[in-house]
Amino acid sequence: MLGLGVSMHRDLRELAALLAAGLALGLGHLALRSDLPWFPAPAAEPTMCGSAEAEPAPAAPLASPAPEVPMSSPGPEDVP
Amino acid sequence: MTAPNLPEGTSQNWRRLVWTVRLVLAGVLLAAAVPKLADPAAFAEKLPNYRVFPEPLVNILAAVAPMLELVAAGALVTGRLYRGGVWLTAGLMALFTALIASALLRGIDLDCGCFGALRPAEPASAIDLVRNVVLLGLAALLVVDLFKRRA
Repeated sequence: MLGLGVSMHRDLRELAALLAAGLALGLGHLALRSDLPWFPAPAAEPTMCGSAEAEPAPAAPLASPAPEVPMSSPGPEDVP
Repeated sequence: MTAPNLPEGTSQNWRRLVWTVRLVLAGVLLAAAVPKLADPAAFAEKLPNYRVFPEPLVNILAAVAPMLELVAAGALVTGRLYRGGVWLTAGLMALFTALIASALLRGIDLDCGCFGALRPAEPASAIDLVRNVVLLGLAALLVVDLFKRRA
């Protein structure tokens, strides 16, 4: 029984060592491959025509609203 | 190569079987790891299709999983940290089997990416599941052998 416990302890220790090695090597590999996109690019939304819809162009910044042109005062011809 | 001591009474045939299984599993793990390490971006693109991994972990998993396969294969072949290697192999096989079974059950049409670009992209099927169950069975045989060594 004691032997089984010792063996299990050894198994866990070896497993932890291998997991740590794999994690360290994997993260090192990832660090060296800086060309990798960090996330997979999101898939483009297909349209009814089957092609991806183009991103809408950014709207031009709104200019400050121009002052309304004041209506001209009625002229002599408008006066009955 | 270091072969751990076996207790007396362990038959020669059993030892041969265990060695064959070790080599087969190590070969499969190597064949799975190398193409993924060569092109991690291609493997990373396949992982979100399983719909179980959070996006921030995709690249980390794409780099770490093949390294774990490589480390497990090395332990099986060389005998260094052999016992840990057997458990790691069994764990990886169980995980991969569960992932493929889960995708098939949910009706997700995906390329499992199991062997990177070594295998042409095909939707995962019951054949992939059967293959993984067989590999899991081989890994279980090595676990049984670990317990026989303790006896």
